[in-house]
Amino acid sequence: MSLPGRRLAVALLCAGLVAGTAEAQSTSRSAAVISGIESRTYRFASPLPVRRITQVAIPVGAVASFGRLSLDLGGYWAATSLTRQNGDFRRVTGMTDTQARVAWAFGRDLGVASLVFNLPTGLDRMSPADFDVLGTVSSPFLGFPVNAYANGGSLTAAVAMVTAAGPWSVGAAGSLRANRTFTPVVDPVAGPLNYRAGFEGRLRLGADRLVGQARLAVGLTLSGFGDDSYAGLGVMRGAYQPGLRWIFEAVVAAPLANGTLTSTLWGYQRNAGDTAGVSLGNRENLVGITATASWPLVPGVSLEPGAEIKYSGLEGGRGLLAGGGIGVRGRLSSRLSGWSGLRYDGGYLDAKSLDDFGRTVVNRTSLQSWYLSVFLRSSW
Amino acid sequence: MAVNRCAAATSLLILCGLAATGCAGGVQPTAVTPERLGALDAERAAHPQDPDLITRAGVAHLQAGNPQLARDILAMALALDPDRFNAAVHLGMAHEQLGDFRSARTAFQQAGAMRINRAQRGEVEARLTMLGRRELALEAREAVARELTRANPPLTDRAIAVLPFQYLGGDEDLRPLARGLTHLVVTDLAKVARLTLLERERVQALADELALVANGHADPELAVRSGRLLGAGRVVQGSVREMTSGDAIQIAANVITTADGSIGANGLGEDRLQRLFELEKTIVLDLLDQLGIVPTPAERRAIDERPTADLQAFLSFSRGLEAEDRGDLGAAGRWFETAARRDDGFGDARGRLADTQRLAAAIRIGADRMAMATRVDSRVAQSQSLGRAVALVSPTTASVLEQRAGEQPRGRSRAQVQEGLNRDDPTLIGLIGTIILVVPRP
Repeated sequence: MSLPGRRLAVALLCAGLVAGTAEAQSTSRSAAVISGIESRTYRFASPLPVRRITQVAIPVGAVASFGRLSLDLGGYWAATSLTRQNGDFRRVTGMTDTQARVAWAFGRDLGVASLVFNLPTGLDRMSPADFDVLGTVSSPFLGFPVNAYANGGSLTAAVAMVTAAGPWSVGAAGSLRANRTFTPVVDPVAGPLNYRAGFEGRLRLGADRLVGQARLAVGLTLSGFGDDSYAGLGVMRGAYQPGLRWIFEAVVAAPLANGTLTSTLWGYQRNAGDTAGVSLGNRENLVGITATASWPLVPGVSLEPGAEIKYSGLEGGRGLLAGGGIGVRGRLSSRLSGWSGLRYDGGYLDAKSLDDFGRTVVNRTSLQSWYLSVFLRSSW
Repeated sequence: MAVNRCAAATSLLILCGLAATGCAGGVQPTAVTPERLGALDAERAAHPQDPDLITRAGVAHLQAGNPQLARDILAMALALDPDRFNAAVHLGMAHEQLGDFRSARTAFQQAGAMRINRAQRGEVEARLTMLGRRELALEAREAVARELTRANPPLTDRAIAVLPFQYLGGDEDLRPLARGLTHLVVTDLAKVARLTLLERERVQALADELALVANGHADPELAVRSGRLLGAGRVVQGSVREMTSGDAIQIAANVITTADGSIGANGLGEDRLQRLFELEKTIVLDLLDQLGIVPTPAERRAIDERPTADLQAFLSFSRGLEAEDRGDLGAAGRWFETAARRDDGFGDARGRLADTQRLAAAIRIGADRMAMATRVDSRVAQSQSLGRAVALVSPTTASVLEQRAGEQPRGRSRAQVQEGLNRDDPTLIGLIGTIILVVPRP
């Protein structure tokens, strides 16, 4: 990417607008604490060298609003384990970074401004072997609850504004993030690696409107980056330029009998990054279709089945996952609510490689995934 | 039997109409258009965990005549927010329209137990009062149904039911007097501690169910049947008519023993219309005397008290009772007000007027609130969009968790991809475990 374009992308703030739940401008005081447990396991068949990846994560989040001001704080404890086909096993446990946000609503529901502090409480200075484990859960395609334990300190400033335009509700928002240097990995021989991510700017545009008995929401996000710089591990020093990213999503939510049905089409495009002008060949394109429903079983308890298909196109291969799950959501008392979900996915990964004759061959690996979650939310 | 069914159906329709419109003679909520209903449903679907929007949709469905769907939706809203007054009140109304009075009472009581203001408390009390009337009608219907299975309640000797007096004359202007006279007899007999009087409204409900009055004559067999259905040991049955000569009227009353159908006491008196109250007192005392009940001096003084000296005021009051029984609160209020204006000291009229006004005002508030609730407020969606927008633009762990608390689980994928903006991933899926360097971006 050219420097001016990159700088422009960095300078851009990103914004988002889809219908959601939190009221930006509440006149009342409220607070809530959310916690629970999530677990996701992937099992791979050979020829992939990895047999199983399991992650158990315990999130803790707190939110509070005081009229126009809202605060939130949250983080994870997570245990990630990797089992290779040869039986080697390794587990990494620890805290993630803690994120704190303060947001202020201004005007008559005109906009919201926020500051997010990423507090570096996460597991860093890991051994290369531990870091190797974390690399397996960082893919958006696999969708682990925690895909990065530590990112270093950062500050993100954001603003979102929304207005009505005929039947549409349109909005734009953006953010700019500045990062500090951190040390993700320390090699016992070569020493530490210091990494500093460049600025990131996001621009999001969104719109939503009623269509008959349904609400349609569409959103487009562009994310651009400055150069990351790294140094350490003995002699290594350099820069990495992440590629631009786009996200598109369209959501239709409609009533279905006394319940609701939500259908989502989304796409994620990541251009390849480069180091010193050399592409890393890590372009990725993800698309997915999701349908979820919610039906009341008895007063206070609803059943939430869902299904999804997602496809990942990579420069070096492709992947497909299809699955479904079921969730139950209910209120346990006047202040306590909970929800739980169970999900299964199955699919494959195709990895391209060249054989001895220079021909492209595709090695297919089947994979299965189980996901279980239980959450509790207490509010005041 | 066909007549009885017709009367019962009419009674039910009147009561249903009262509940459905929210106020007889009061404010009528504006109709919910299909577009508005669709818009609210869309909002509900888009925000399935938002109790405010769900309540709005539930209220709209109730207003549009879908009580079953409204009930389910409002129950969901109340489950999300047990302190939501609108949801509880309208859930009660939905149950009421569906004929589930027990659940309706529970919902109204839940609303009443919330931290609410005076107007809201008044509305809850009004709803409970009106529900009580519908429950009486249902009880009457169930009592008649039980009669077929001979599962009548046990008779209580002390309990007396005063059946609606019948008007046997030809002057339609005087017909409401029968209703007023019944009220007077019930009021006076209730002053005797040895007797337990069934409420006039309860007996009236049974009368409506059985269409007793429609027969045009006092039937001892029907009195016995009524006594059995009500569990009353004794039944007072009476009539009033104007005499053919002058302005005299005649009042006749019997006390019938339910167990054997025998007449335990009877009273008959004639006097000038202007002396209606004296005549009624005489007959009540005569009945008590024949039943061997001697009122205490205090009871005697209480019975001797005249509700009003103004016959026209009493006639208006009687018309008010008629209107009240048929569920027309507006007309009832006007008649009670007329009676109270004619005689400032007419306590019964003033009391009923206050009750009626309270009910009407409370229900008017409910109707206004219903109309307000079903309006599609674009600012609601706008405000929510903002909340979501800021969560997307700078996601935090807590905001993502809160978002998931408020939405259906979308399989994590979409949220995960959105979070995926926070990191870079030089790892290729096909190379899991073999990558040399992976540095997640913040």
